[in-house]
Amino acid sequence: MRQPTRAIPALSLALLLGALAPVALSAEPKTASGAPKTLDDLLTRVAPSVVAIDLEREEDFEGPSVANRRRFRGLPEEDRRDLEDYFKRPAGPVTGLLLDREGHVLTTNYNVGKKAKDISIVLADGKRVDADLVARDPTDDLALLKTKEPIPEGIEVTPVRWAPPESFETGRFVLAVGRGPDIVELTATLGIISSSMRSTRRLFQTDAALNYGNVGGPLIDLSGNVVGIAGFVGHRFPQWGLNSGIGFGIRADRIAEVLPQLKRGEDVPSPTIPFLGVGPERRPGRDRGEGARVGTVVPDSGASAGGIEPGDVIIEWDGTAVQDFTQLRFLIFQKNPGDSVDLVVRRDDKPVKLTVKLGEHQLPDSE
Amino acid sequence: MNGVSRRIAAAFALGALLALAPAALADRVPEIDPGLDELAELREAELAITGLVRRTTPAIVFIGGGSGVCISSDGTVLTNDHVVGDRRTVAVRFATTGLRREAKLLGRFPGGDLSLLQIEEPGPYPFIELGDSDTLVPGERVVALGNPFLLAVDNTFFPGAPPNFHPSASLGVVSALHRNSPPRYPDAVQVDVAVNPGNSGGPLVNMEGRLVGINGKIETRFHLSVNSGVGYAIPSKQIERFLEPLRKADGKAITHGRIPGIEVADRVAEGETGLPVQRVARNSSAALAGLMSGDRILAIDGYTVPTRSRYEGILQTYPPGADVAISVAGVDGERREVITTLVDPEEDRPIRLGISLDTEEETTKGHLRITRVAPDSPAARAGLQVDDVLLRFDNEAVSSFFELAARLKRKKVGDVVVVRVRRDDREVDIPVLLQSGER
Repeated sequence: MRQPTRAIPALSLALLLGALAPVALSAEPKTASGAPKTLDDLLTRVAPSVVAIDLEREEDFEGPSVANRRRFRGLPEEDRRDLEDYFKRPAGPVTGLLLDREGHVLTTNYNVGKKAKDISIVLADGKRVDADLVARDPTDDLALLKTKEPIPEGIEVTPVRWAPPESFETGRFVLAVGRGPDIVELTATLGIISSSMRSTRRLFQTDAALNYGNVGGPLIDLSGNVVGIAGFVGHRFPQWGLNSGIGFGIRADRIAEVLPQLKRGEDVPSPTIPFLGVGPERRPGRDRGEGARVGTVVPDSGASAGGIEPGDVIIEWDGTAVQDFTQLRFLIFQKNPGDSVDLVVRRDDKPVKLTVKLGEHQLPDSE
Repeated sequence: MNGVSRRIAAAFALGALLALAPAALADRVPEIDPGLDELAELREAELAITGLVRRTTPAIVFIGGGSGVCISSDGTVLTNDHVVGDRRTVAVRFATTGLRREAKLLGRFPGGDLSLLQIEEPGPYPFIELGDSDTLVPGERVVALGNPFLLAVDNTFFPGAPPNFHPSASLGVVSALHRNSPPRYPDAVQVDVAVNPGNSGGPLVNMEGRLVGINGKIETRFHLSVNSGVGYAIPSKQIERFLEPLRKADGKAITHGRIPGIEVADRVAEGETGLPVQRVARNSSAALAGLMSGDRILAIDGYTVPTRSRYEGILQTYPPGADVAISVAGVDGERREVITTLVDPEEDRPIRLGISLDTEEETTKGHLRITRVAPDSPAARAGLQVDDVLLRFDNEAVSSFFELAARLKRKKVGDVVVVRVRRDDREVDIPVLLQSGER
């Protein structure tokens, strides 16, 4: 049963008041005339680009880590079974973003599973078309699919408008638009950008409710521009990621960076991050904010080659005074692998000047 | 990973989920211009939200597994007691810059989950001004800022990701006011803003960017420490009343005030007004203030008290020594105002009997033999003696230390309990007046 679209404006107000339940919206294409005035207008505009993906995950990711399950070991048997069920992702359809008439569909890597077969895309008008997996970007939680045939003439394909940088500012509204679990209806959840940068600057954070069904779909701003793809739900910590107000979107600018590669059918390797090769001193009470106290030095790292020794206290990094390890980690990530950095350590109460060359480290995949 | 999750400090309680209260608009809240369409209204709100986030973010601090907020340019920091506990000094790190400073504990209020810190190094530091939580109305937009899941520093979600010192902001509305959610949240602002472990101690701000509460508690199910849409914040009005006592606490714990010697009914009777006063103890401060049995309490400092829970909750938002104005209606229906000074409730301190027990005989013989009676202790004053064997406490058998501790826990300072002991093969009942450890 389709619901009349007229019911929607009132419902979108309910969203503003904080209701988290997805709002059903007719998939019936509606021609929006003039500037959009309501959230309903925005949804109508974006609707043709939001598609459902049906597939069989021949081999799936492992789901919540064992360590994570252990947290619930003390629970009564019944509660624990409920939780295990809660952690299982439903087999139902997921969401993707239709990019063009050639049939490119962007979704999350997690949605596709480790190995997928029988992928089909259900377009906004309900027409089902078969699709293949083109390439993956596991660290960004992205996957690109492509329909076996181009999108048939007569079916509306709206070009995706990517959001400008200002749409990423913390506090901007975003609307997560999905098609799961019901293929012919849209779901919309409203939130704000909670932080414009997360992880290694490729994600933003949002408090819009994200769940298994709407992941892979677009997050749009109040002008209908796509800010990113909703991702990173149900990975290691589904109990924290699902509907918790802590959701993540893969930023449009990152998508622009990797899309050409994905379109060529090339998987995107994990990016490398700068690596120094020191571990903190763990003895409690030693950290008083007077420098980063080195406990361990990784053999054959930039740190060991540069002469850093366990027991050294790093007090200056590239001219900046270092207060503790957290700040040191922050400073290291301002550099690139291969950069040389001058630093000062305190050793036997005397300052010692050293120069280190940063190595590289592969960022772990999203799964 | 485990180390990080262990560090996430947050208090959670099991409870029923509550319905969203109907929206109401106060004079202060701008009326929605009927000429504005939905998106225009949202854009206007967006402008306010991005603006307040920009202004308030630099005053957010990260403290261990929680958050906090700087409230003065000289570096006074507010956070939850469950974030800091009794640590004398803690490291606080400012959002945006990542600047780390050592702060010393000025005072803590465990009963209200508040902790006040002072950065020792002179400022100026970015800060947020306190707003007035009494002006909040259900339905009003509010923003929570903080460090859920330590995303800004240690990043629980993405192991290996660098710190970036960007706090998280989440938007929602005030769901209800004056929620008494024991323990520690006697007069909470209930919000549907996403609040998660790590948000504890961070500010709840209104659309003017003023601090209207400190987030610290969420309703949860299945022990899932995650946002449920029911979050509780300590109202700024309560915080304001405790600032001076906390500043002067010298690093110690303070408590809320109370009115001793008064018993009130559970709730206002149907069709009546005012919470009935059932009993007023002779010579108590309630009696001296002029409260009488049969009076009906209409309001405390202007806050209505339809139930005993609300009555107790409101009183717990005042420190000892505070004067509160109680509006009452007498038996004759005449209204009057009574002013009383709240006193320090000794009940909050643990009860101490003042006896030592033979732990070996506890295991071998299964009884509790007194090996020492502390001088001038409640036990000594009651006449308990060395070699007495405890048989019953308040009419219940006790044969282990834990049993005794559990029974003591249910008692209050000032209670008189009968302790039955075996002394020289006779059983003797001895009344003991329970008193707290600190004299």
